[in-house]
Amino acid sequence: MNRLLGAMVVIDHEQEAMSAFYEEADELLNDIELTLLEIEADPDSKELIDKLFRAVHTIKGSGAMLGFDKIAAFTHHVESLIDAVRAGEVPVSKLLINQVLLARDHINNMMVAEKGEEAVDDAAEIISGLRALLGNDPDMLVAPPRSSDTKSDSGRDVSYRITFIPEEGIFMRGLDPLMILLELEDHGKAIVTPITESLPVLENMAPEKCYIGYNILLETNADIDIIKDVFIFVEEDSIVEVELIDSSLGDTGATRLGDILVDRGEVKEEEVNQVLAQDQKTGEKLINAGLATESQVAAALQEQKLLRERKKVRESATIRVAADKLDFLINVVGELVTAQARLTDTAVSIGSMQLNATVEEIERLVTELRDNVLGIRMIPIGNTFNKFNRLVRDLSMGMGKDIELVVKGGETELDKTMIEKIHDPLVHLVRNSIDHGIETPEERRVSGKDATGTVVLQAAHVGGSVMITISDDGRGIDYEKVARKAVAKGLVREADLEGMSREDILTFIFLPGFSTAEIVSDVSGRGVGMDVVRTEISKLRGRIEIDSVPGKGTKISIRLPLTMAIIDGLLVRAQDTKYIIPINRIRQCVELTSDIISMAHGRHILQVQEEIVPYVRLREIFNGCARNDKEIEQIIIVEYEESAAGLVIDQIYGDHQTVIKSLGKCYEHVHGIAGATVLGDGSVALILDVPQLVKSAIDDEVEALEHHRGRQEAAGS
Amino acid sequence: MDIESRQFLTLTLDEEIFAIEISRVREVLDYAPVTVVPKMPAYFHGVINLRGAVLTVIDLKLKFGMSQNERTCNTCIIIVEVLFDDETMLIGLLADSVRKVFDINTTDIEPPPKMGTRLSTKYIRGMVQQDDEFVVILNLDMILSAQEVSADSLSGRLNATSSDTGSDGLVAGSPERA
Amino acid sequence: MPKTIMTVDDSASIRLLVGGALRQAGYSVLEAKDGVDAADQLSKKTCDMVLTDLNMPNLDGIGLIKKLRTMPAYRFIPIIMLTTESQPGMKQKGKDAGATGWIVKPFKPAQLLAVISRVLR
Repeated sequence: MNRLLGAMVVIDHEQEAMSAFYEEADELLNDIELTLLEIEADPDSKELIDKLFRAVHTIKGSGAMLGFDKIAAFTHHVESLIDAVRAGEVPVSKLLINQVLLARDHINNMMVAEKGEEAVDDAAEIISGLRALLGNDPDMLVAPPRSSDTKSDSGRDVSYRITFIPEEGIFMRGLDPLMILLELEDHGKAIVTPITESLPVLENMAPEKCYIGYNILLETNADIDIIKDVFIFVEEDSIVEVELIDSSLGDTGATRLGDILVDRGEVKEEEVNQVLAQDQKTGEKLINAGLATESQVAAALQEQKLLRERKKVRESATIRVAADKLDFLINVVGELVTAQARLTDTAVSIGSMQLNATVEEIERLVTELRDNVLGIRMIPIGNTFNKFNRLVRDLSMGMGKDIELVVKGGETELDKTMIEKIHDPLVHLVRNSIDHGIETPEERRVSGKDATGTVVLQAAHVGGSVMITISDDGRGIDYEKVARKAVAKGLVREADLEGMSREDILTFIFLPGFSTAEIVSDVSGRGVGMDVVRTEISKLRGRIEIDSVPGKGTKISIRLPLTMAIIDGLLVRAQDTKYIIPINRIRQCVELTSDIISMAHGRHILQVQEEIVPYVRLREIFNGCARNDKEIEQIIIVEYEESAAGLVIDQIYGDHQTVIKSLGKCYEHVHGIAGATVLGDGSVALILDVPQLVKSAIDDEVEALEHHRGRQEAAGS
Repeated sequence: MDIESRQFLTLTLDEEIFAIEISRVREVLDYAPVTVVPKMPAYFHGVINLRGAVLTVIDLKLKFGMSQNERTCNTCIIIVEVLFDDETMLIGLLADSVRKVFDINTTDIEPPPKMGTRLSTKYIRGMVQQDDEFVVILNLDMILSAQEVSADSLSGRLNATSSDTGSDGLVAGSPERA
Repeated sequence: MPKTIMTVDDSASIRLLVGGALRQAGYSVLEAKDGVDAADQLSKKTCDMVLTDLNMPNLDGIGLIKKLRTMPAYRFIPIIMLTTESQPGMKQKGKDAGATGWIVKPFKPAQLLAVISRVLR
């Protein structure tokens, strides 16, 4: 509802502010005139000078904020002069009063001109007159209004070593170190190690003081200035050090803890060598010898870990491997995982200590093998996403548009082939956003939007799939135009358009040859079309959806399956079928007792810690059978959107990690099943897609209620 | 004209005999319990695990509209290669039994009759006579055509797995039924 | 629950501009025309953050910040000053009075929102 209202109220606060400014400026200019005359009579009145300064200052400030740059620039000269008078550097004189009056008149003319859109001469004389009074100080230059800095990411992943020790009184200034850490996390992956040495004993601790410092290792592709910016409000009073970790540190093999501590400047080399003579771990020894604190060592250990990983990545030579060899390997590993699960089950039933030890070892090895092998083909999509920065920049510049690309979820991993195949469709979609979606800066200002348009590329793992979204805050899709074009192309009859929903109209976009661009621009609209995009995505067994609000923007969602991935889930049974529920969706498990059922008076809801949670019975929706009185049922409370839902099952077996197998194209329309997996005993369990499942159950319920109501009405009337 | 002879595997559904070209057959398995996937047409018998791969098993009798009967020790699952939406995939076909592998001359294959078979002709490649019996040669690729699958799903002939189908099942908020 | 931000500025056009931008971004907004007005309102209602101009009649920005920091409800909330480059010393005066941070006028609404999300989540 809110979104709808927002769209209707075409945000006119800017227009309102502008009208208010015209009024305000008029008043202020009047005040300035009066005050100047009063000052002439009483030149030593500090109060009057302050009043004059404030008035001029406000015109300049508000004028600049609202885009009246010329007025602001001119007024700046006046302000500088009055400031100097205020500071006692320049005396009040008849000449000064005259000059400022002239300036005030000019400002007035400029304001009138703005309203009528006429030009005004640039009053060079008045300006030089003002400056002359200032003593023509060359340092008092006009400072043009600050424009926003466009900061972009450098595109390469680097690591920063950051030390942030907040001043004790930081909370008293309304700052929270947590906000700063969170902001750092917005830029990349952060590993935070606290510095706890300054924590006093509990009796001596003042609750409003900050005693903890932080060592942070940040992996990001952001420029060092962006990172330093995060600390802008604290850097003067707290200790802030941001250092690019010299990658060569890892190269020379220097990932020894001692070397790292030396590099961090926390320990001296001789001390390290001295201490190394003993037999413990370097870190422990240094701590014991009082040469380094626990926090320092902990932070250095994190850095060591980071460097070693990086070193591995760089040093490893690459080998080309035929994709099908890899597929075969992955399959065999998958079977190995299954067989190992069977082995474990068997060993448990035999119960031999000796056997168990070996079987555990095998389990560990197989897990490692599996993780590694699966990892071979999965690469983060961030690499692909980052390439779009250049594309967006070039395209938007070429079209005279101001567009910012925001990338989220770059660490989401996808199968390598999938990434390669999705690249071209993504390019086409991003081009569409830039070409057809985002308007020119002028058009955007007129509609009350920020002149800079935003395109967001985001990837995330959802359920058993990967969701890639491309969204923009542009003009949205013109449904009218699409519908008309479809009629013109003979794809639909005028009459049939009547009952069509927006979603129906959008489907026309996917038909071959359909392009509503007036000019088939060089950039998009020729050769590749949305139909090709959809075909490509279907080939990857994915789905594409468009959502668009005219005037506000468009969002394109692509859902791709993870053909092969590990799922960490809870194995449960409903009726005769076994299901796996992804662990990351599960909040808790509760027994469904008769009290809970009776409390709900026939509705499928229960109360869990003050939250009303609706639930569905898996056996009802999937297996088509009623509640079984004999078994005690369990509810698994899962996360659903912003709240929760419950899934009622008959039995919980326990944690289960297995390989997801895709069921295949035929099963795409089954809502709630993401795939299947082979269990230790060789049987097949179905993997649940929790959000889809709950949504589908809700939809069914709504439909049934409407149907029921419809029947009631028909019967009653 | 060359006489081409190909090998076919014969199988029985009820009393009738069908044949599949051997080049399409990967293996034959004894019947094993399947996991039923909900909300699929009834002839989607379920999925099984074949050495780590999850395969769909089609109940041919249901697909062809024939009567059901009890499973016997001869009931088996034939793993074949079919074409689905331009891709080859493996599926299992539920059969009452498998019989011999025959050589059949392509010239002996007659086109399917327009009437007289319960089976829709689109599933039939042809018919042949073998030892006094009629053998229907199946067109495997038609069994799993995409349009049919989606049409069947929408028409609501869906799977309900278990024996005790009590309520109308799909409505989550319905009141308790005995 | 949306967060509430109080905007203090003697310029009506700025209040409209900033207030409008904040509301558009989903914040709830209180407006005051000078330090006295602000302190008065804040003694009766609460807010999650204060944005204040420095140059105002009656009670200016610095005075307001000092006053707020003596009020228990406002000791730890973020207070952002709207400064201009023509008054470089004000930044330090503000910090000494207890201000959290600053944003330099003129600024675009997007910059303001970025600074706000730096201190309010």
